[in-house]
Amino acid sequence: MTAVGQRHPMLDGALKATGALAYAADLAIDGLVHGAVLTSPHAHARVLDLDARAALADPAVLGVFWHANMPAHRYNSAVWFEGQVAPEDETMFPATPRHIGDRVAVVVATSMAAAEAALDRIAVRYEELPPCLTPEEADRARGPVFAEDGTPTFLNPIDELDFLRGDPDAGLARAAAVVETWVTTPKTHHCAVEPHVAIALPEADGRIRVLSPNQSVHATQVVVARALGLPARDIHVVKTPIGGSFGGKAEPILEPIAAELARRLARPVRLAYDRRRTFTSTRMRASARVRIRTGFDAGGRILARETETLIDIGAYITGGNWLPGSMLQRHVRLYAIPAERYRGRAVYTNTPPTGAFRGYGSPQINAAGEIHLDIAAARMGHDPVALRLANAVGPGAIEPYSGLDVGNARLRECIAEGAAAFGWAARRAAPTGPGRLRRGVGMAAAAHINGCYPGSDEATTMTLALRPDGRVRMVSALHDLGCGSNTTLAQIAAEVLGVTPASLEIVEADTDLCGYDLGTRASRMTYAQGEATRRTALALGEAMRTAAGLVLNRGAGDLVCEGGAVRDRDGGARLGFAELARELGRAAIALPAATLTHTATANPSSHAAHFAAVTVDALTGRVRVTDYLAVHDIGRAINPMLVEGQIHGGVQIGIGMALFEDVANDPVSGRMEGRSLARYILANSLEMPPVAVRLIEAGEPTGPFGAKAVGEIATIPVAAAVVNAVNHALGSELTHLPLVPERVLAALGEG
Amino acid sequence: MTLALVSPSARRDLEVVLGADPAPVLIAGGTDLLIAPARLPAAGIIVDLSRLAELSVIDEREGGLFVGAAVTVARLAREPLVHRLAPVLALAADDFGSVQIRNRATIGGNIANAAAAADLAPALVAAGAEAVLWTAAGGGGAEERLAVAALLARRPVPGRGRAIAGFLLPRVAAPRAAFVKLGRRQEPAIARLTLAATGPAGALALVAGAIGPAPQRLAAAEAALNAGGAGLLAALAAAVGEAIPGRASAAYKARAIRGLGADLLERLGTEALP
Ligand SMILES: Cc1cc2nc3c(=O)[nH]c(=O)nc-3n(C[C@H](O)[C@H](O)[C@H](O)COP(=O)(O)OP(=O)(O)OC[C@H]3O[C@@H](n4cnc5c(N)ncnc54)[C@H](O)[C@@H]3O)c2cc1C
Repeated sequence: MTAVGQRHPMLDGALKATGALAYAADLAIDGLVHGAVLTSPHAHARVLDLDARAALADPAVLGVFWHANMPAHRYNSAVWFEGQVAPEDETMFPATPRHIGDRVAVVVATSMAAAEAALDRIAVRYEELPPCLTPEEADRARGPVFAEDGTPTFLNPIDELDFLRGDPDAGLARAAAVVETWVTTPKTHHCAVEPHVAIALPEADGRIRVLSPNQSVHATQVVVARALGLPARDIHVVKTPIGGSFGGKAEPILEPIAAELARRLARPVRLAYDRRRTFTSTRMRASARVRIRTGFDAGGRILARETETLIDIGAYITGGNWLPGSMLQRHVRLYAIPAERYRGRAVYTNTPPTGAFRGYGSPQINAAGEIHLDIAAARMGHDPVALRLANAVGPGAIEPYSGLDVGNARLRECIAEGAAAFGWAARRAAPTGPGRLRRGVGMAAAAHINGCYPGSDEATTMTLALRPDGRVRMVSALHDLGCGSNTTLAQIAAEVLGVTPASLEIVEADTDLCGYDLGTRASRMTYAQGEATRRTALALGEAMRTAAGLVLNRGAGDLVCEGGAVRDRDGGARLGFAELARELGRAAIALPAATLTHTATANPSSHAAHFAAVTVDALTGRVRVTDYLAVHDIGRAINPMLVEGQIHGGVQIGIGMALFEDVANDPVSGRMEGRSLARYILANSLEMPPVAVRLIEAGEPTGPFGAKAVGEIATIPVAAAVVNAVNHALGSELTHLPLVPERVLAALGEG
Repeated sequence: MTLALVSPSARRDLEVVLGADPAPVLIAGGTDLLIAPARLPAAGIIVDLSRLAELSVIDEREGGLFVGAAVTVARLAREPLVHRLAPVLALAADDFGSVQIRNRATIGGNIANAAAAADLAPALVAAGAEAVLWTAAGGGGAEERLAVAALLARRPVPGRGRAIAGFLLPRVAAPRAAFVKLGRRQEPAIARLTLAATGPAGALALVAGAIGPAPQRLAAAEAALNAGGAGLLAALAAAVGEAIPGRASAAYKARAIRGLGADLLERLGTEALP
């Protein structure tokens, strides 16, 4: 292997480090005008009237747009392909804003400053309506989610999913121990460095071009088209470099508005949110309240489990109706449980909408399940590692919800090797200390998916083509979210073609250039697009060897691609790629190219086991994570350095979820407490422990070179591992995240 | 309507512009002002204080230590003279913001901004510091002096037509000092509680920050501290209970201040106590 398995630096790393890479907000565009969005100060209100005269008095202001003069086509921002049927409850500017930060109007002006200044001169008359701010209250407002005529009622639940396997009542009845817990997880925000931004430009042929950092150009195209009431072909979407997404840019938010304004004003328009709007007016992780009841036999084998989740998805459905199912899908792929009952309910509240965020429901359900399991272990006197090993799924297990094979699942190795490397037994047995600083260790295991199979449209089309200069161009719906996925794909293609990753010329997603793909999400990029890359590269290699055979007068089977050249299997003749291109040009033979569509046929599990050590200050309630080990069943690491990078970042997000992060919507006013980076506390570098990474590379037969996903699973077990360590340190049963000092001290009792 | 920026390099020029109407906006490190753009005027005068050499002076003066208002927090944390004469200020500076913030933030800005959580405020009050103010021309170039505690009771700080020139800290023989801070994370963190203690052994002043709009000297806790530390933690908890009764955070802070009190005792070491 010359490229796969190498710690290759990101192909665009130097451009980023030197600031040379132009992000959407950096693009200089002639005649660009700027939009600023006016948002609702009320959690629930009707817009009675809007007076824009004072704003329009400034000649720099080109227009003020709101529900009365903008299209009101309903759409769902989480759809990803044309023709997809989804509950549509969102409009660009609702007449009845549903959360603080909901869109009320947009001002367009010749400068950003003029647009912002004009916001203060728009007078809006609202009729305040009673808001519903907690999921419990929402759960009582039941009824059909859409009226007969298709208008949304905003009643609940927006989705309810029941699942039954085996006979859980019988299992619980014969259990030696039954343990019940209630875990709640916070709403957390992506906090990508780059805030949301979208640019739209009228094109000469009457179409609208949309430039934005997004996770799927095709999804963006469909959503914009629906919001504008246009056919998708009228919208041309180009992905710009992303300054972080984590799911936050999976759904178009500003794109439809920018496109409509560009169409109307026949000018290029830019919309950009500042940090506060990124908090209040985009998407975040849904919160979950999860009750779990498990029956164990005396040896710790799980006999039956009952799970009930209540998910607060905020003001609009977006993809929230998928959450009960996606949580279930991940919940049941971790342990082999003979009897299972699950009920998942998702409800609207008048709080900012939620959406994709690294793991899509997994971090919530994993935190609930894994904190539960440790509490059960403590109550029964079992070791958490032993308890997990007794129940872990193994290779070839059938995941009961979708009925799919979990593939070469190496969960047990993650747990066992991790425990040994971490020194689990000795550290767990060490005294936690009676004094001020209590020490504890905890662990958690996780299971996640690789892509959306058997869901629809798990297909990727890729073209690889030899260029006249000997480089290889890769064209596909590529969306590197900043994690280096383009580099990973380049390594896969380079390995097959015998070139260096830098010889790949990568063209990122552009709806005019690439075939349909659902984008970088759902842990599918390396697994699905990586395999598409490998297969397309094999096809190009074949075409190159055939073409070179014509020049060298050899059979394709006698040639190999190696060292940047096509050469004789047993030495001798050799044609560098550039030379080959030249020779073919001279002979008027078309340069080799290959286009291939790959559709995933499986959805194996990725697994992980994480181990955390903490100290808890029993006087101040502050927790510090002091040491960390992450073990991942990765199949095969295409680029171990990038894999480690994903894991480090995943641990940072997970520590935040465990200890610090919560947008904290006030249950009475709906105001978001964490609406700035001063108020919304992230774990930063000083809070990070040393993170050791161990990779189990046992190979997944359906993945490229055996590879499986790491992007989302890297953050999934973190919160539970940290909380379990705190509960070990204190002998407590803390279950409400994040473990802010107030909650930690409360667990210690009056003192 | 125009917005002008002036960068006076002589005290006289500053005093002239201080008298402008509407009142000019002074800017030092900009770490408070620039992140709250709503506080920047659309018209008028912005006065950049960075060219006034005297505002960046640290020296021995009138038998004590003088620190110019534009001295950065980073400099306070590393300047040997500050460590020797006003260790509590150096310790507070060391716990302040993050590297980038410390490099820009100034002591004058920290006091003039008058946030409840300002870290240097309790340190200056504990050290018995006086503020030196310059006033607008017409006052005959008069200098006004008052205790930092009294200055912080004004609104706005330092008052119309005035600039903070610096701070005078009285000399104490063999000063003991400790500064402890509780935030939601290590750095950068807005203080939820701070304690500053300094003075000669056995006669330390003890001041708490972030439990009210201005730093508070905690008499009972101070007495306990100077009597050897017994009862200090209970006295601190009681003081918090009195300072912020009924606040959602009161119960937590009343407990957590015990942790800070224990840290304070540990940092002071036994030799500070009789
Ligand atoms: C990320 C971050 C972290 C921070 N962490 C901390 C922290 O840990 N502890 C803490 O205490 N603060 C912290 N701050 C707040 C801020 O850095 C401090 O208050 C700082 O000391 C302000 O100084 P400055 O020079 O930047 O003030 P500026 O922003 O320049 O000015 C602040 C105010 O003071 C006035 N002013 C400035 N100089 C004078 C003068 N000589 N005379 C009269 N008025 C004057 C200005 O007009 C303005 O009203 C933090 C800020 C940020 C952004």
